[in-house]
Amino acid sequence: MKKNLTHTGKSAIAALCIALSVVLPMLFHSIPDAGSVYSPIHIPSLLCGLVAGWQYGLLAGLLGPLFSSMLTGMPPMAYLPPMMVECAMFGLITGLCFRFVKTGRCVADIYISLSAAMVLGRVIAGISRSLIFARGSYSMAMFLSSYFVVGIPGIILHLVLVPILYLTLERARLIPPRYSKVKP
Amino acid sequence: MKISSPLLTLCTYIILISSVLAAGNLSSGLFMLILIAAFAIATKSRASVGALKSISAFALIVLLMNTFLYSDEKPLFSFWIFNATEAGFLQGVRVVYSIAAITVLSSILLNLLTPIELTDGIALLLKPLSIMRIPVGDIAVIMSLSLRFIPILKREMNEILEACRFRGGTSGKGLIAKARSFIPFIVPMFVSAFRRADALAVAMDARGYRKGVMRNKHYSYSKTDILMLFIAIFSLVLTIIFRRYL
Repeated sequence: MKKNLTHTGKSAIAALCIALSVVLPMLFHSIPDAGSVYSPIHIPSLLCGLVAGWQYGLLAGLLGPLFSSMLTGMPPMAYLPPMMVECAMFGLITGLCFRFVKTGRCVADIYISLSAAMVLGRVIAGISRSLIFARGSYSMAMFLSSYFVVGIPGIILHLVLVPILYLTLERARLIPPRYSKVKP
Repeated sequence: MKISSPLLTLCTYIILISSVLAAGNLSSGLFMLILIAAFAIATKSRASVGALKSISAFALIVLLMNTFLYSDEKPLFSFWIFNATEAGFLQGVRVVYSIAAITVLSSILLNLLTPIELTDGIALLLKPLSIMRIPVGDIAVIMSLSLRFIPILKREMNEILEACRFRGGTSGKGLIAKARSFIPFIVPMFVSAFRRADALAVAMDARGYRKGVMRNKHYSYSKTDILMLFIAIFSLVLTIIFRRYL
């Protein structure tokens, strides 16, 4: 069983998550509108933050949308900078929260980290849009509708999928266990 | 057009984008549009036309939203609760111009450089950040590894999709059912991908991979690279002059 991920292991996972940010949206785009509704590009950066830590999550969040846009044209260049900020914040905040939050139950830690990242990441992306990328043409109503109303199915999918993925990888012994089971 | 240095091409791209964003009036905007069109023709990037087509609906929505929602002062005409204003229309044109110019420039860049060259260019561009102890060498390795992972994952995704179809996998109805129906596709894909990453990390460690070493190819500079960079710098200066004095 793995005790700790090495630096090389974390780099390989970050590279993999960047590649998954390109491949996963292709799978979702096979169903009409699923790409924009379920935001599959967020899943690898959230998972990378949890598994490899905040630095790698931040990198995967920054480069994933960039590579996806470069190679597949999704997201379009106009949406790319705010999406890069959003995904980077997801990776960074999940990584940081998962490092410091220790409730004793792995699932609780994952849900706390995910919820914090999803809320704070969207708020920071909204602030970046209103101050930098869409200055003067961005309102509170647009922010709430684009990030929280349209994004509800995506939020549900991420909350269902990311803990399952983490626990499956842990059970498959591909990542080290968060809490080692003490035998009586 | 023969390009040999991804670093200089990236620098040209960044300076041209700065010029696009610096253009604040009609004359400087028109000058930049002509220059970008000339670049697109010189580099024979037909993809830029397709890129412009793909954003046309979005650009129209942005233009209409700005025209009707930007301001309420001095309306040109009114429709229900919306007021079309000149200030809103001009703001919309400004936003659409920036989006279109950046889209065309990006497609030109992608036409000129292969993904590996682009990755090397980004790594070289980030090299000065190593002074601030940012591990640029590692970032470059991660970028090149991820580009090599993409075709493998694509093939694997197709195999898993086929396997699920043969077993009669369907997408459910309703939000939660649809979200659940993705799990049989995604979980095996992640597990097999992480297995690959694990094997790769073990192989890299076994071959003595060391942290933080830059591994870039050597690129030479051609006359075209330098000419393009000079044109970009000249356009930035000219745009600023146009903005100030015209």
